[in-house]
Amino acid sequence: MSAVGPEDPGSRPIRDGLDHRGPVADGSMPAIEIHDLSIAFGAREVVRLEHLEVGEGEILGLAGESGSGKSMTALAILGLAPTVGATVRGTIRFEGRDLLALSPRELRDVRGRRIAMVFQSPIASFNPVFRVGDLFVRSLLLHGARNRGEARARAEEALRGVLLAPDLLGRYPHQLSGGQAQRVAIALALALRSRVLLADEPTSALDVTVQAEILQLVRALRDERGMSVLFISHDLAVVAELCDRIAVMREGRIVEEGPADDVLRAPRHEYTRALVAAVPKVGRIGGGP
Amino acid sequence: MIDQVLVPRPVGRLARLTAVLRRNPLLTVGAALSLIIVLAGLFAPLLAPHPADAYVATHPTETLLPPSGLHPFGTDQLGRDILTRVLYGARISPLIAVLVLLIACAVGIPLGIVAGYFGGLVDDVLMRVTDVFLAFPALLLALAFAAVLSPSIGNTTLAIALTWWPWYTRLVRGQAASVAGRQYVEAARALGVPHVRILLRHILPNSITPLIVQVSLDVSAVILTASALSFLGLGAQDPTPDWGLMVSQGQSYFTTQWWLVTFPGAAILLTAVAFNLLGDGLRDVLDPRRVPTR
Repeated sequence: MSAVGPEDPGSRPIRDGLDHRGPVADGSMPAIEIHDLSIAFGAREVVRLEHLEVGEGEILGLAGESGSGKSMTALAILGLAPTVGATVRGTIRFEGRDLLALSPRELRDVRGRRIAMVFQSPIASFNPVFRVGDLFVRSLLLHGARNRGEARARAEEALRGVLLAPDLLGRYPHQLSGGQAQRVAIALALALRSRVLLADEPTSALDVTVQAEILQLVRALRDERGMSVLFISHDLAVVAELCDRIAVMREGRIVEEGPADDVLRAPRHEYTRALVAAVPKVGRIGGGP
Repeated sequence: MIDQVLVPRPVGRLARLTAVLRRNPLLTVGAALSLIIVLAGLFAPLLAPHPADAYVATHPTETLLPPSGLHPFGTDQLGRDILTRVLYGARISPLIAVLVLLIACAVGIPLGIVAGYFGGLVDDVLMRVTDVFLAFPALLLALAFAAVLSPSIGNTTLAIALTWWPWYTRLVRGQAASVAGRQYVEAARALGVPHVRILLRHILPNSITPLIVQVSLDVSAVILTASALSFLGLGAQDPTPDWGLMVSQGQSYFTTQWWLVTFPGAAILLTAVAFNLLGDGLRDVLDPRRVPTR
């Protein structure tokens, strides 16, 4: 469908999702740049962001309690906030375009193909009636694969990329474990060669050992493929372990933002301090207070 | 890896079907019964002992004979062989039922999934139209349509279908609305899947199950509704060997000549049971979660 064919000049990717570059040094253009974003349900404004950016090849952690607007921000980036009844204003720059000004058709091309999203409950993210392979093949055909064979090959390669056996493609979602399903979801982003991954609480529904594997995987994607990641979590321990920078949200606003170590070691805002204090002090939380 | 050991090999669609058949004897019975009905209809001229009785012939001297070797199901008030007419009826009643349900589904399902998925204004408009249709008693509405369209089997089918679809729209809409809120639908949107494809691949297959059961339960109801229209002179007309028509015409003889009503009635029952079992089994085949994977 619309997915094949040359991309319009405005959306020229800065680099192909395939080349294996490490994290990019500061100073390059941010992958996603949000200005004056306002998300409201009717008269009630739930998110008010003056500025937030995800650097190229950066993992930005978006932390905060439930209801603080983290997920709505991610949905707004994909242009999906209106589907849950919200009105969105402001600008979200991505590859030189304002995502909020795109037509529905242009947005569909960005979704999945350029920006992928991973959700909280991994198994519920899959339509139960289709096999994993079906999901991959159809998504890839929608987003640029020339034929089933190529789609299949890319799917298998992506599964290997997340350390899963390619024969998983023949399974139904309910036959996957939570950790496997989340890997599959990430593999889909990989197969689609998305440049940006929006991860909305991707580890919250998983047990701790599986959590660690997923975090490792997300880091590897960034290190090996240069993917930029917006990692949303209410769990500061998880964010601390993974992210380069952290933005802490509360009641729709960012109360503190900075390099992960700084924010965790010397939180300036009292809310952040409360969050840091709430983290159980076992393991690698930046040296401890 | 460890995963490989724990999980069964993927099963093909055909293999799954045979597995389902083996594991689900009721589905096998349903399929067999349906096949018998279809064959009875197809080969009625060969199977029927008195083929002429199906339509024009009457035998004034042999009326209301009880079942015997010559007339295994007896004869009716015009002396026609009931077995013959029941066999020929397999060409009419199940066909009406299937056509009515197909049309009702063809109208009801698309409206239901669109209303449920999009919600809002689309939902309101579609469901109010549906409510208007539901507000009329179904039989009255069918009567009105049938009266306008002139009595014939084709028009009866159309008239019943016109009163049938709103129920399906309601049913599907409720399911679709709940499926529309599931995370995989959101995930599909986040993947840039167009609305039409979300409707067809995500909403439809996940909201259709209750409808399949309902449709299979409705087979007998449609046959009886068609017979009610026939009884009122607006459906199949007399020489036509319609089961419903035979039942309604035999009613007045029921206390003295039980065979007039019993055999066509049993044929309706058999058809209903066959489609019920088929519908049940179909649900199992369509839903991968219901098939145990050893």
